[in-house]
Amino acid sequence: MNSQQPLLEGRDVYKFFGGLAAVNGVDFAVYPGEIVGLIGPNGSGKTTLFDCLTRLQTIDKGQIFFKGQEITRVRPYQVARMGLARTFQVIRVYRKMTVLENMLISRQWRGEGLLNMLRPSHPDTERRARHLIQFLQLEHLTDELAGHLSGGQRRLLEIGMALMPDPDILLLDEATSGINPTLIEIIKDRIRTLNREQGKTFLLIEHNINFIADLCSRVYVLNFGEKLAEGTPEEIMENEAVIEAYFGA
Amino acid sequence: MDQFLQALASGLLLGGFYAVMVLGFSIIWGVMGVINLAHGEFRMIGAYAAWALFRAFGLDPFASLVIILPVMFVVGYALQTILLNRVVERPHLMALLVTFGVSISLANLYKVIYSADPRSVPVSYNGSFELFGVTMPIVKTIIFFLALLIMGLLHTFLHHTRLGKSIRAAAQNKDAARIVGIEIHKVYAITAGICIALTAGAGAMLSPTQAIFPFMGPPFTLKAFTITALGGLGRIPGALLGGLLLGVTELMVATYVPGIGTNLGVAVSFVLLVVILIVRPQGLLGGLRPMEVE
Repeated sequence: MNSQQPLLEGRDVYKFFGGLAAVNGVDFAVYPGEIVGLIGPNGSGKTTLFDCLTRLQTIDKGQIFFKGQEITRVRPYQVARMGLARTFQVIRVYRKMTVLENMLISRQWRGEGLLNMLRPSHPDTERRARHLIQFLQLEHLTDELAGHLSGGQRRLLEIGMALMPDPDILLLDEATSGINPTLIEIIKDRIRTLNREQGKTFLLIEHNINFIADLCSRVYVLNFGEKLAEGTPEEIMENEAVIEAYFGA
Repeated sequence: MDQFLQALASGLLLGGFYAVMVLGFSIIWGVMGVINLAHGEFRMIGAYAAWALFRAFGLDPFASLVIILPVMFVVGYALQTILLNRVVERPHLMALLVTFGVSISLANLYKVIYSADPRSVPVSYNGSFELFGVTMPIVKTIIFFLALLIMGLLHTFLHHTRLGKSIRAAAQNKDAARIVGIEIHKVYAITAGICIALTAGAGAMLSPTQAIFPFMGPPFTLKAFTITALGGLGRIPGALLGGLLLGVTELMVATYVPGIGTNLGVAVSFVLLVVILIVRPQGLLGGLRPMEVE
C-alpha cells in the first residue's frame, strides 16, 4: 500500500441513470506519479466515472477528493483549474480552429479580467503550445485546421490540449481507440516520458490490454458499475472474475 | 433598368441593416442553442432608447450608440446570468418559453410606459442623394456602412482575442471548453451581452426611418429566422449574405409583383423560409447544422 496522500480519490461513489446504477459504490485512489489503468467491458461505467471525476456529471452519493480537497460539488471549470485534465472517448477538438489555436484555447481562461481577455495570448503560452506541438510530433500541422487532421492526429492534439494547463493528473479516455500502431507507440512513449521526466500522473481508460500492461503499475476493473478487481496488470490478467467478465468463460 | 437598379440598391441597403439586426439572434442560437424569441423586443428597446435620448437631449441616434451599446450589454449580461443560464442546458422548449415570456413582458411593459402611440426620431438628414441615377436614402446608407464596420469588428473580436476564441470554443463544444477551465456560463453571459447590445444598437440605428411602437418586435424576430436559415448559425459572412438576399428579395417583390408592396415583407420572408426548408433543410449554407461560430 502507498503511504502517500492520494492525488485523486473516490469514496463510495454512486451514479444512477434512472434505475440503472452506472457507478455503484466504487472506491479508488490514484497516487502522485502513478500510471493507473481503468478497464472493463463496454457499459461497465468507466466513462461515467471519468465524467463524475471531472464533474461533468454530478454524483448521487459518495465523495471525490483531489489533492486532499473535496471536489464533489466543485464546478467542472474549477476542477480543471485545480490541475485535473482529461480527454474524451469521442475526440473533442475545435474543428474550425487551427492546431495552434486549439492548444492556446486550452490555456486561455484563468479568471482574468475581461480587458485582459481582449489581448492576444501571452508569448509564454504560445511558446508552451509550440513546444507541446513539437513534443507530440504535430509541428508540421501547427497551422492546419483541426478538422483536417486524421483521427490519430486529433487524438494527439487532444492530449496536447489537456497538457496545456500543466495539469497534475491526466485522465485519458481510450487514447488508443481507432489509432494505428505507430501512433499508439508515440502516445505510449509520450505518456512514459511525461510520467518519468515531469512526474505527471495518469489514469487511463483502455481496451488495449497490451497498452495497459506496458504502462500501468496498477489496474482497476469495473463491471456493471462495480469495482470487480484491483491489482497489478499481471494479477488482473490472471483474475478469473475478470476473465469471466470479459469473455464469459 | 432604372427601376431594377433602384430596387437592387434599396434591397442591398435594407439587407445591410438586416445583417446587423440578425447577428445577435444568430450568435445566441449558434453559441448557446437558444432561440431568442425576445430578439425583436430588444431591437424595440434600442429604438425607444434612441427616441428618448433624442427627445430629452437632442442626441443623434447614431451618437446615442455610445450610451445604448454599453447599457444594453449590461442588460444582456444580467438577463443571461439571472434568467437564461438557468434554462440554457435544459430541453430547448424551456428556453423558448422563457424568451417568449420575456418578449411578451417587455412589449407590454413598454406599452404601459410609453402607450401604443407610434413615435419617431425626425433627424435633419433624413433625406436622400443621387448616385449614378439611383436614389440613396442617407440614413440607410449610413446604416449599411456602419453594419459593415460592426461586422468587421465582431469578426476581429471573435477571431483575434482570447475572449472571442473562448466564445467560439464554447459554441463548438461546451464540455471540452469546460474541461479546459473555461467558465461557460460567464462566456454565455458575455455573448448575450454583446448580442443584445448589437440588437438594440440596430434598433437605435433604424429609429429615424421607422415608426417606434411597443409591438414592433415580432416581425423582426420572424425575419431573423429566415436570415439565419439563409446565412447560417453564428456566421458573420452568412448573416451579411442572408440579410442582403432577404433585403433584395423583399424589394424586388415589392417592385415587380403588383399589389404586394413593402408591407408584405414578412410574407415574402416566410415564403422564402419555407422554400429554403423544403429545398435545403440544413439551411442555404449548411448553417442550421450544429453550431460553430466561424
